Amino acid sequence: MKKILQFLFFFLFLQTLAAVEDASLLKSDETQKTYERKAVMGFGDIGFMQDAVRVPMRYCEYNEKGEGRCIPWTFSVNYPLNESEKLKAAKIFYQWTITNRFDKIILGDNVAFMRTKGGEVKIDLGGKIPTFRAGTTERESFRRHLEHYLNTDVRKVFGNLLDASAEQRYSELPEKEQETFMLTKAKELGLSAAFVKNLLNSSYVFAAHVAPIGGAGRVIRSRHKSAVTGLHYYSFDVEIELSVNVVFMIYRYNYETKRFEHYGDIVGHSGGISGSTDTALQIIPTPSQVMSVFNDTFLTAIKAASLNANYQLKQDDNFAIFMPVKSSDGKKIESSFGVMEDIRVDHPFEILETVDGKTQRKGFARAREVSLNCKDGAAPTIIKVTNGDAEEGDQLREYPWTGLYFNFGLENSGVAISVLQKNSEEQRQYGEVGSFLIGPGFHLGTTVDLGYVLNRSALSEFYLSAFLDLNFTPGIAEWAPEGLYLTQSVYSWLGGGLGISKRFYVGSAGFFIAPAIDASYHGTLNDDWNFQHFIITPQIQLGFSATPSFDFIIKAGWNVGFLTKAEHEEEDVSSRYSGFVHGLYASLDFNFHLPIVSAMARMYTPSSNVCR
Amino acid sequence: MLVLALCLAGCSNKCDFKKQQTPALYEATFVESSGTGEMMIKATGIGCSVEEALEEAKKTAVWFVLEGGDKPILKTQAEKTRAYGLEMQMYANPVKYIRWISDIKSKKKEGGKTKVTYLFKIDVAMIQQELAAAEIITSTEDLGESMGLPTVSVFADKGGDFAKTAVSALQEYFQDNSFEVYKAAQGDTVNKIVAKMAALEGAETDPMHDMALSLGTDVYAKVNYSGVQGTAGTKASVAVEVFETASGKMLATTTGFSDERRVSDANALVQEAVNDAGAKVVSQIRKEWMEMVKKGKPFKLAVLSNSTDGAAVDEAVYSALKGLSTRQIKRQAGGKSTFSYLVYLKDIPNAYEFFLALKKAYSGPGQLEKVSDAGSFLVIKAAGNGEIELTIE
Repeated sequence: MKKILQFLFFFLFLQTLAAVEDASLLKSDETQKTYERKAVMGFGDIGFMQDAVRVPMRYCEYNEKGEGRCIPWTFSVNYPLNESEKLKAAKIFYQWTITNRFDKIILGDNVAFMRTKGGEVKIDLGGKIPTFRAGTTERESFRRHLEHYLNTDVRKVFGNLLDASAEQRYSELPEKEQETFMLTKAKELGLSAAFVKNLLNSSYVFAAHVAPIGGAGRVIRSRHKSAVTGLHYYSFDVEIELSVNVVFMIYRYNYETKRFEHYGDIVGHSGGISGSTDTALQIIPTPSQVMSVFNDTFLTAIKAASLNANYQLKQDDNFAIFMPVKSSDGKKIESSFGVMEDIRVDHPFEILETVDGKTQRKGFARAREVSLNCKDGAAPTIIKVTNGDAEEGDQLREYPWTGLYFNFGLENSGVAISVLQKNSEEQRQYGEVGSFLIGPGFHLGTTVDLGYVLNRSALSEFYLSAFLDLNFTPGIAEWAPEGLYLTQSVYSWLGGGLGISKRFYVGSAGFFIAPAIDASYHGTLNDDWNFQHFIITPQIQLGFSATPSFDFIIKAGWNVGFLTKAEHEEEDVSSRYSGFVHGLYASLDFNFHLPIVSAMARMYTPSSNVCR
Repeated sequence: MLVLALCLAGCSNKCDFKKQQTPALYEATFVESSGTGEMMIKATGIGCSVEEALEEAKKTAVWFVLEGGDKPILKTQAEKTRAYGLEMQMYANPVKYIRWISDIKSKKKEGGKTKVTYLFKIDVAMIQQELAAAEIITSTEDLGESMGLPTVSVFADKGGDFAKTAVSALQEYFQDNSFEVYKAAQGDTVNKIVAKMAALEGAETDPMHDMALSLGTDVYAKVNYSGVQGTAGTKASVAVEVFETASGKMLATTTGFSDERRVSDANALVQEAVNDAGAKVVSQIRKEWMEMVKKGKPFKLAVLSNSTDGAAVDEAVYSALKGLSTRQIKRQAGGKSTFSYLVYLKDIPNAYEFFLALKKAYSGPGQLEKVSDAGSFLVIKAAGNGEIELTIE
């Protein structure tokens, strides 16, 4: 039986036995471990705890100021999870979690999709393999059903073949004769030899089970005032929030106990995903429009959960990319791994070495040029050291990463708004008499590495940020007949914007310099005064990336923009102020890696398809 | 963080390593014989950097060929003492003997020093030549001049077609190592005299031994092939047993292995396994052969006579043999008219010279006449009156 298992899970045991082979004299030891391509098997029918997703909806009405209320609505989204929907979800799971560094066989209802280095083929199973019916059940029940299926149905069909194959292998048949044997047996089963071979070689079995999907939705009716006509009008919007948690159950065959045994679970979290209509609707949305929003949000949630599962999978040494360092100068490393292993632009790696029997980290590196290693002889992937150094024989280990950060910054966003002095009542011309500053504050946001997320080398180390600012002004300068005075109230400013930066690493201590530009819009939160302005902030950033999971950045720049609104007690007072605003910007930022990508999942592009 | 960053960039343990002429480490393993004059050695070196450790590993690999493992070139203390100076020169320039270096196989830091392991292909033949030229070891040619390297025949025992491939590969290996190889042609049979001797000796004899005697080779090798299917492909193993033909004594036995890999034709693995076994076997045969030079080479002697003179011829031959050999004469078979002996003779390289010496020393009935001489097997006849009797079956 031991032989059977070796045959059944050839690549798995290739990996397992690689440890044995490491002991053989020609092989490298653990310090030089190299990832070997694996094959995995999955099931198209994924388990759900519900046969439909039901999202209660509320109806909300808001006025121009965003004030309003919501009431429960009779309508609720009821999304049936039929076979095709499950298969669609399974495809997303397997696309994003088990990327193209694996050969995959996804068993569906009497059909299988086999995806290898060469491409994807659809195989008609012709009833040869019983279909796995995940059903609608709670997780442990699903697990028992899965184990029963693997240890009875799968073995019932392939048991004899496996036994016979193993015996043939151990009867020392040369490889060519084994291939012939495999072909013969595959013909007996009425399946292609390639399929049978891949199936038997599958090292891990993945099955997905989706926890209860929670969600909420709103249909929003908003009242607006036309800037042109001054008349009021209404628009409608649909918002749906979902959260999906997927448990990936991983099994592999234990050749001692002769059973498929549980290897581990990975729970992929989507985080809160919200979706809405792209443009405001003029009439109350139809059910199909609501379902369209739901579909988009649901698929995004599945994608986000899968990305999180993929991140977690990479934390397991059995699934992460390892490679020994081959470097001429300790700063630039070449690797034969590339798009076929889902290496992406800016893909981070840890540099490891074994010191007194323990593995220690000595730095980090990032992929800059990714090899199109569809065939042998392709140009290598170029990985550059950003922290520490690397020398021949060190080891690179893929660093689990999503390319997404939570950003927090303490800032002083200086925006001087100039106050003009009226020369005379008649002329109503003003001259600058002073200014007031928007002062200290903080911002929160997300920052994403576009090179990694979009997998485009042209965008390597380009970081896109989206942020919200909250700043305070101790008081504002105001003009009065008797002269300039400073009001005593503290004014709060809320703003938000986008920024983009391009990092250039300086040396290999993790320091970088990044020219950047932000564009933001701010407004006061106070009732009596309503100032609003738009600014752009060219800046220079000096940062230190301690690990791919954390960096801090000192930013210095200059806010330049214009005042878009100045009202006092709803009276337009913009003439009292200069339209041009500007000021010093300084910030100390901290970036914390986010393993759950939530709605940002929409941005992620799949593994390169260049080899297909 | 800044401190951490600076530390990442600059902090490192101070390394104190003094380079010496001899290797700093003696960690090495024989991996395989990758050719007739090459060995693959896995060797480890230590130093303050990978480069320094690699240089040390090269020295270790050369050391291993010279003195390490179970078949070092320098076998005796006397040889090691004589080789000291040359050995130091070799350590000073190990690259001269290295034909190939693998990628790094292991890298570890221990006590602040870097330890690395590589595979090296060492030109063993060149090292042997230099040692022989410096008269530190006896060269193959010298051995050949003194008594001739043994003639060899190779037979497939078990393993089907792959065993036949192994036989061809081993024959080539022996030829490359200056052995004279006798091949049995298809249809060759054991000659009648050998068959008669086998029948007389009574015991069930090895047909390959009989065939080797018929071919007249000093030694013969039996080859068994077996392939093992591992998870990463096929691994070939070739077991070789070498026997001295005249005495049937086992001279060498070893098993060679290939690496485990996926190949379209397992014959490539057979060749690799034979290379591995060949180096070990040749080393063992040479070692035994050198011992024989000192103690005497075995010859099998068959004497044909008739029932009338048989006893007298037997007695006279036995007496003559005692005069030629200082070692005990082994009488293997004796009938009324046919006898066989095993005798160890010094300074007699072949069966013909054995015949000449025996003829000179013989004082029995009639005269000795040579029927055949082949390798270590001499057949003579002697009778005072009447015909020689040789009845087969």
